Amino acid sequence: MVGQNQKKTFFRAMLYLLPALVIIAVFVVYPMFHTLRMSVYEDFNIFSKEGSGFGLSSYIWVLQDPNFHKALANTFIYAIVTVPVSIALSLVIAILLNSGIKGSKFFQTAYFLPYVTNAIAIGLAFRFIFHSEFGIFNKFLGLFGIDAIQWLNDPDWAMFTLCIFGIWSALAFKIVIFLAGLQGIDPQLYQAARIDEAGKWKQFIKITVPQLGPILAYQFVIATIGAFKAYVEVVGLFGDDGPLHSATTMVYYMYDKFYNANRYTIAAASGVIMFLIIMVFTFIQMHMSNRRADQ
Amino acid sequence: MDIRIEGLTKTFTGKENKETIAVNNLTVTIPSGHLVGLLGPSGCGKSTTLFLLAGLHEPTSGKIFFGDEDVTGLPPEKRGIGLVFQNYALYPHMSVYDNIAFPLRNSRSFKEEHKDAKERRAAIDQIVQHTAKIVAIEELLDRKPAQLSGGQQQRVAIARAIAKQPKVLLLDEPLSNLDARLRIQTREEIRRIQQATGITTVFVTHDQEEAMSITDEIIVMRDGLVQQVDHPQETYIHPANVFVAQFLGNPPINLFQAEARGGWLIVNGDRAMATVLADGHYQMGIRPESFILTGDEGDGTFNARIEFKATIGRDFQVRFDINGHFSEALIESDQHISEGDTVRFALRRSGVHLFDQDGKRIEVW
Repeated sequence: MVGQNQKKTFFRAMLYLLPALVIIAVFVVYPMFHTLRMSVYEDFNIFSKEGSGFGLSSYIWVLQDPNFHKALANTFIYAIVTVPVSIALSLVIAILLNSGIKGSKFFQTAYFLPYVTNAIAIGLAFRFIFHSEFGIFNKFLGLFGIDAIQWLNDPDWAMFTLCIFGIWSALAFKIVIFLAGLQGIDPQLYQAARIDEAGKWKQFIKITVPQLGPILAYQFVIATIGAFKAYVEVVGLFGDDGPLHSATTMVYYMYDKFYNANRYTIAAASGVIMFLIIMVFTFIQMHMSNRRADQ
Repeated sequence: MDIRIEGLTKTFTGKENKETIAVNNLTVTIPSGHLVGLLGPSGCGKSTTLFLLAGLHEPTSGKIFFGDEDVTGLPPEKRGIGLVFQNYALYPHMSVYDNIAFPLRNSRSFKEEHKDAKERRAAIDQIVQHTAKIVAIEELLDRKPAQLSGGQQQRVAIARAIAKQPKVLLLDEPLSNLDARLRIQTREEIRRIQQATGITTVFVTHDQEEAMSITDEIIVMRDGLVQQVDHPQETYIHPANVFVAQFLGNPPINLFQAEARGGWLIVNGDRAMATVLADGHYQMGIRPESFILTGDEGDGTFNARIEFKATIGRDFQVRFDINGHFSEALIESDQHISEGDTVRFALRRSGVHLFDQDGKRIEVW
């Protein structure tokens, strides 16, 4: 490789990469640094782009705000509940779909539809389903003599409702990924396992799960990041952050501080804190799944 | 434990409800402790037969007995078989040790024999070590299958299959992924292991040499139908029909139409071989090694013009025309012949086979 050639290929490569690089720079890199800069001022004028009161006061404010504590707690609850449950559920559904049951092609499409449907629209549909008087959920519970639950209006139930909705809307994507993973497993492994006297459960634990190992790890990372970023689900279901802010999340808090309260530096600081939390969790998960892969 | 197969039939229904008969009314008995080869071209139903024995396919009709027990309705996990898959199907996420131990850890009967968990683990360990020694993979026990060569993987697959001391060992083209040298080495190893363990073994292959060299009996199949069940050498010396004659032997038998006239079989217009057959047309097969160059000119010999000659090791391979069929013969290379020569051949009677027009062997001719 001659130097000039290298230069030539470099420029050519740059030419191809330029559109993507420009977009990433404008919409990802610049906002990231801008957010970081905003967060270290006490006050910030977004039009003149000038801040005043350099320091960590915004962070201190956020960390002392009970609403932020609520948002943080809700986000963790949401992640801890929805991630494992939706992964387990979608794996079960994917296995059923992959087992060649009747109409599996239809169900594959049916389960994927929510993924390509607007989340706000789905949220609206769920508002009907969860409606305390006319909703099908309460009608169904009524069959068993259970009194109507104020799914959407009772602050004590709001998080529970949000989790149900979150689990449901997270299924589609996971099912598709799991299906692809399941179809990649050599069917002869199951035949061999049958010869080796392994029952269905043993086949699942000893073959399906380890064979899906990397996909499971990927699902956990993506789902956790997604859960930490929960916002559309909240707005779609409640229109705001639930009765008495009972279903507020970190991203909702950030949005609320920026657009409704116009507290730009507070919003930026909470964004940075959220970024750090997600980063730490992702690192832990990567580390854990890498260690498992090494064993 | 002998295996009895009675009237076994398996049909597959494909697209547009088209039925394919993979195995057609197969009846055969495999004696206890024997190594039997299922031989045939691809698509002849030999692998299907093996999977039927394993219980991974359900037969359309017919019965399978292991000893006196009717196993036709039993699922594979209850048949007590070991199966070596064509591509081995080792568990990629388990070490070699765990692969071999897996069937033992699952086995219910083993659990009953060794009730105490600690004692069971020790027993499993002992069996794994012992089996690993039989197939010479003791040093590889903590590796993953991906870190092994094809031959090593294959031995692991055999170890996994025999560790639980199956009543029947089934091998599905186990050598097809190996290179030539390893193939010969491993097939002898399979023979050695089979003799050491005395397990009744069924071995599926499309490679006649493989089947010939290690089996006690060969079952030749074609289009789901059994063509011949015999000792390996017998299938070569006494092929039951044209298909078996053509399928066995390398280079293949020369097969052509020949006329019997006045007590002689006519080859290239000459009276080549005496026969008791009535006048008429027959299918005649000559093994390539059964041609003898001769100086005689009289009856019992025939003319051929050499069109091609190549030296393969200690033999000449020569090609020439017989009754319109481009034929091949192997001649010892101390003879002087060149392309274009017209030579005179006599035939070794043991290497000549006659079949009627339906392809059936004519025993006396």
